[in-house]
Amino acid sequence: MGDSRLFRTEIRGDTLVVVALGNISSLAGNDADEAFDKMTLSLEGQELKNVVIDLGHAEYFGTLMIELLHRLWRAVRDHAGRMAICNVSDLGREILNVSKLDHLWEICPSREEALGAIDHRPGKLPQSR
Amino acid sequence: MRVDEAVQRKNLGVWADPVDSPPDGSHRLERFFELSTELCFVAGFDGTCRHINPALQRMLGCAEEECLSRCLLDFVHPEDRQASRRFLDRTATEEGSAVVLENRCLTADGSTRPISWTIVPIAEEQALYGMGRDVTGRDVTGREPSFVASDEKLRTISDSALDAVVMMDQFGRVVHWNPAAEKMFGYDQEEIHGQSVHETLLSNQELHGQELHGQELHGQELHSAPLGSKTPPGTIAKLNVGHVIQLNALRKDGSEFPVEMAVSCFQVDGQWWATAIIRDITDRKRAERQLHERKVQLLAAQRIQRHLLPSGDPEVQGFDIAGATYPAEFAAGDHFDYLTMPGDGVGVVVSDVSGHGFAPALLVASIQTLLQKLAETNNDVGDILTEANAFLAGETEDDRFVTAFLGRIDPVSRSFSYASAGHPTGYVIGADGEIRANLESTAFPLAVLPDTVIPKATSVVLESGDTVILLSDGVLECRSPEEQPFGSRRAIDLVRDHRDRSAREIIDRLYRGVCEFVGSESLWDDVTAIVVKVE
Repeated sequence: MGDSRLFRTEIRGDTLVVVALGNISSLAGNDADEAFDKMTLSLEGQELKNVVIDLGHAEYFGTLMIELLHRLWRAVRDHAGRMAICNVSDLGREILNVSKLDHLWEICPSREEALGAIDHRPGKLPQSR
Repeated sequence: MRVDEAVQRKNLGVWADPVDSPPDGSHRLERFFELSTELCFVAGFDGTCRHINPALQRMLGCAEEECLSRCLLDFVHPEDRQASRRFLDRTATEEGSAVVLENRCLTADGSTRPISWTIVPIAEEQALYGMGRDVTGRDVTGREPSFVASDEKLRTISDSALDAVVMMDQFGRVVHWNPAAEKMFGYDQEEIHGQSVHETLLSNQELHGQELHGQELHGQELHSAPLGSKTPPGTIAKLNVGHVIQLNALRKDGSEFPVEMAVSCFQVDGQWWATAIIRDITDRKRAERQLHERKVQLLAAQRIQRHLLPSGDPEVQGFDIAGATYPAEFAAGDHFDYLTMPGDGVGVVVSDVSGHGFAPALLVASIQTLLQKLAETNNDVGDILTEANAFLAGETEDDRFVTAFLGRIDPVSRSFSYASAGHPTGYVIGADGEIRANLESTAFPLAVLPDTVIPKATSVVLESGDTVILLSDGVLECRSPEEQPFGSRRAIDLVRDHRDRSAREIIDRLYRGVCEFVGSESLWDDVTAIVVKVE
């Protein structure tokens, strides 16, 4: 289900858990697009609505990661689901804070808390601020 | 025509040049035909026997009268008939060329003998003139040679290879076909054995390439001339021995696909063989095409980006303003601009569209036009970005977003107001080198949600000696060979160290500092900066 050398996926109920494994800054151009497409395609045709992204093993957090998170969030939104991010590094938190995207996405300290933050009612879009 | 061919043609009564015809020649030619120990025949193009000499009659165990009107293929081993028929059908079209066919013939005593035939088609007579020789001891069946069949190691290596390993006899007929070849071409071993590699797998295409070193092969040159020269079909002479070549191959289902092929030949017990290692390069070719297309797109995007950049830095009383974008090889999403705003205000914009390539570049063009238009009649930087967001959210592809920093300089009051949609923090560095203000983002990026409000931040009153620095993430995220990020701290230190220089010089120093840090001028992402110095 879209697994690659940089991502691993698991299913927990109606939630897709995406585990970032390595340095996605090594992806370039079409490689990045293909990796991202695999992620979003994982939501197609499945009984999945929500996504938890575990960044505990991600060596990199920058623009490319933001793009991935944004793309996944869009896909989740289209399925009326919710998204949460967990195990974010200090640098990642800083970047999410600077970009104010921590106002848009749920940031949790652990995977279990992220899964707990995803409720099973139809997704409620966060309010813009 | 080679000398041996000419001799054979004369022996068969086929004279290349009428001048050479003997004055009363036919009975002498008949003598050669009758007395020759070679196996001679004349047959129609359909294989119907017209004449066979006594030597051949003895081998077949039947008189010429019995053989007349019979097809010579009736005397060929059943397993070799189909291949021999195809061979003769092709030969009939090769006027004047001597071709070699090897098969097993059924003899009078019930045994079979391997015969090597040299056959010349004569179109005006619709006849095939053939001369054969018993080659007992040679395997003419097209079966896998015993030195392969019996060698476990060879077989294991071949069976485990990811590339197709195809072994051929000297006529280019398949004698060994590994599992990778089965998978690649769709033929199983049974159906491909004995088939011509050149005709079946390479669709008889001319293989254009360089000259090769010639190798003698039982009187037939393996290859010694530029490709395109006439060589008998069915040989491995056309296969570019000794070189790796790219060409189109043919699957069983008729589809073509690109391959890389290397052919080598060797001799065992006096018999020649050839091995082809074939690799499917479909994925490689696709990747090459995609890379080429991407490069074309990116070049177009970079041209657009260059076209959109300001033609010069604004001249504002009491300020030294400079900006630059250094595009990366595979980017073109960064942009900076200066806006004319009401009340003599000067707007400075730095933006970054997510993704790479042509589409982001087009979006940059939209953003530039949009902000220029909105800024003409609106002094509120937050309102401008909010309106821009509403528009972009409806216009961009689903996955794109834009970080943008819009600042307004009031030259009279020296106030600096700004709004930032997810853009990296800007800084105001004082004359003493200390950070006087962090220009943090006030909302998340544009085009994420259509109803996002981007508020204006608290204005900063600029003082003499202040340096305002606005950067794109390409500066902050570029990495050293040791994978360390450049980061905001390095950027601030660099600007601080050179704050006494002009705005343009500070930007140049910043760019050079980034390149030195990365160890190259080839950057992964665009580097963009605006520097505003307060005099």
